[in-house]
Parts: sequence; structure tokens; C-alpha cells
Amino acid sequence: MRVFKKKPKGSSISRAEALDRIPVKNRQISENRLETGEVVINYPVTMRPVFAGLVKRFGVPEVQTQIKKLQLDELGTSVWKLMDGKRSVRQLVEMFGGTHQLEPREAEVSVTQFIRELGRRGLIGMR
Amino acid sequence: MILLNQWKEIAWYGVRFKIPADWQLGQIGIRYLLIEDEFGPTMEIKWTPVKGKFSHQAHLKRLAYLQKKQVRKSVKPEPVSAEWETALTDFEASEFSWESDSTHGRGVIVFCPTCRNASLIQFFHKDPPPNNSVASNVLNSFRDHHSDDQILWSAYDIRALVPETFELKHHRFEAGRYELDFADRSQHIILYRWAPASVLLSKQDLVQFARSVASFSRTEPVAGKMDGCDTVEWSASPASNWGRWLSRFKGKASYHWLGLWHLEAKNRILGVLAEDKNPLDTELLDGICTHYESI
Repeated sequence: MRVFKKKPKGSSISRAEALDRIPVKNRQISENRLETGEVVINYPVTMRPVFAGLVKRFGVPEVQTQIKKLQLDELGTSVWKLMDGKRSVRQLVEMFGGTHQLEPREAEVSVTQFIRELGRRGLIGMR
Repeated sequence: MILLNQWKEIAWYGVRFKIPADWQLGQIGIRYLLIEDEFGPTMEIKWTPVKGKFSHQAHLKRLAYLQKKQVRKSVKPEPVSAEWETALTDFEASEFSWESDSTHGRGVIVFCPTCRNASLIQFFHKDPPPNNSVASNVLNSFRDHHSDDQILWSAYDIRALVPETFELKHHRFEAGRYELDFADRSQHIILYRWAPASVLLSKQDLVQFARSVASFSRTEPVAGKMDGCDTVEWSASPASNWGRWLSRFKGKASYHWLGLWHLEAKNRILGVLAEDKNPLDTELLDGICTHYESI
């Protein structure tokens, strides 16, 4: 067995392909709207087995999932509202950039960073 | 048909040229720009002042040496095409080409005998071959020196004229916030641009926003209106003669001026911050603010 074997190259997609993907919201999440219009997303987080075991040992009733909250700011809310499971990232970028009169590159960076963060938390998937 | 009026101008570190509207600045460095279109890099430009004799062959060899082995072997000089020669009449130009597995490129090394600046401009292309007239138009618009004592800076949506004595020390282009920091001896002038203004000013006014840019310890910012724009102006300087005399020997700047203005139609906030150990030149600041715009 090679100890220092070369890492296999991850599947990389081009920028154009990435922009054509469609973000889809996780069905397990719920959202509330604040008076300010900003959205709060409630999403379940499964506890890691190690922590679940520890919690059990301390006599706490078994809780497998926790509900976490994520409050979006005004810009995040506007992107979140645009996500309908049909629009591609490219369309979101164009609409977001158009609404806020942003430079195309600037809008792309803002939207893709936001989508990446949502994906990291498991709030959306990409189709 | 190419509509040149739909092209946008890029001006950076003394050079300027026009690119098609759908090309974007991808990377910005000191005397280096990478331009991209939807499919990836499409053009690269780097430039440097030359001291002494300039040799096209030596520069091409140096360029080849910097590439990966496979690309290095493929770098070869080419005769300058008639279109490119016409576009670069003010320069001494030599053409070259190269190829790798995924892409190939064609470019020119140009030397300006007037300002002794050498520039490397190359166009990347996958199949089909590049639109030669687009490259020719880019080259035709290329200028590497200026006739007056002002240098044009134009990137993304900001455009400014800054005296040539000011050198760009630092730049930052982040989503929502651009910053260009120029310095001339002890004087610093920082150009800011924020967007979208409608969001940034939804829970605060321009004065409160200005507080996030500078700390107003001695004097308070003043709100106003100019040409229909909301503005904020703030300045601070030593109060006494003794303080003014002492300011020259201090490490930090004692004279400060900040101007912010809200371009409502463009949904932008522009700002200029000036700092110096010596009294600020208000005429110079007026000139910079007048020519600083969001396009």
C-alpha cells in the first residue's frame, strides 16, 4: 500500500456548468419571516454519534436532532426568495445583480458565496 | 459588426484599453490583468518599464522559460499579422503563439519607444479560433502612456483621475466594497465605492454610515447636498499653532478629510478619504472628487 499516494483529482466543473446548476431548498427546513422582512431558516442538525453517546451518559433524554436557526440579512433574504427550484444560479445572479444594480462579477461572487454557505449547512442541494 | 461604443475601458497602472462588454476583469495585480469571459480566461496583459536596450527575442525566451515544459516547447515567434500591425503602429511589436492540451494562445510583445514600456498582451482561445477583429480592436485601443499629469484608473464600474505623483499602494475589490489607496510621500488618498446603497442605507443614514469608514474623534461630520446627491463631509486638523508645527514630526497623519456622496440613481456610495501630516491641498481633492465616478 502506498502511504503517500497521490490524491485523486476531484470532479471539477467549469464555471459555465456551475452557473447552469439549479439550487433546490431542503424539504426538511422551515422558514419564518421577521417584521423587518428578513428570513429566518430553521433547519435540523443531526447530532454526531459521539456527542449523542455522551449526552445519553449524562442522563439527558435522547435527542438525535437539533433545530438550528439561521437569520439571513437583507441581501441573503433577496437571494433566498428568488430560489424557487427552477431558476439556475446564472438566473439568480442576473436577477440579484439587476435588482441591486451590481456589477455582473460582483453579483456572481455574492450569490455564489451565499449558495456555497447554504450548501455547506445542508440547506440546499444542487440539481 | 463590432459596436465599439458598447465596449468598456480598463485603465490600470498607466495603461488603458477597451474590451468587449461581456468580458470581465478576472484578476488584478501590479501591472497585471487577466480578463475572462463566460468560459474562462480570454486575455492576459502584463507590462513593465524597461531600462536600457529592449530585445523582443530575449523577452520571448523569458516568457517561454516561465511556462510549463509542454507549453514552453510550443512558444514560437510568428510574423506580425497585417491587422495587428495596423493596430499597433505606435509600437515596436513582435507576435508569438503557443499551445497546450486544452487551449492555445496568440499574443504580442509591444515596446513603446516614447515611454519605454514593454507589454505582453496575449489572447487565449479554445476552438473555434478567436475573432481576430475583436483582438485587433483591443490592441488598437491599447495606450501605455498619457499626455498630461493625470493617470486614469478604470476598473469594474469605477473611474478616477489621479495625479501621476500618486502611486497605488493597495487595492481591494470585494463584493460590495472597492478600495484604491494612493500615496504621495506622506499623503494618502483612498477612493471607496460601496454597493448596494439602498441596502447599506436602509437602517442608517449617510452620516451613520460614514462613522463606519472613519472614527470622528475631534469634529463631527456634516451632512449636505450637492448636485442632488446626499453628501457627508468631515475634516480634522490640529487646533493650535503648536499642534500644526508638531504634526510634521508625528508618525501618524494629523490632517484628515472625508467626503462621501450617495449616487441614488446608481445605487452606489462613493467616498474619498485624504490623510497627511501636512495641510491638505483642497484644490487637488476637489479635482479628484470631480473626476471620481461610477460608470
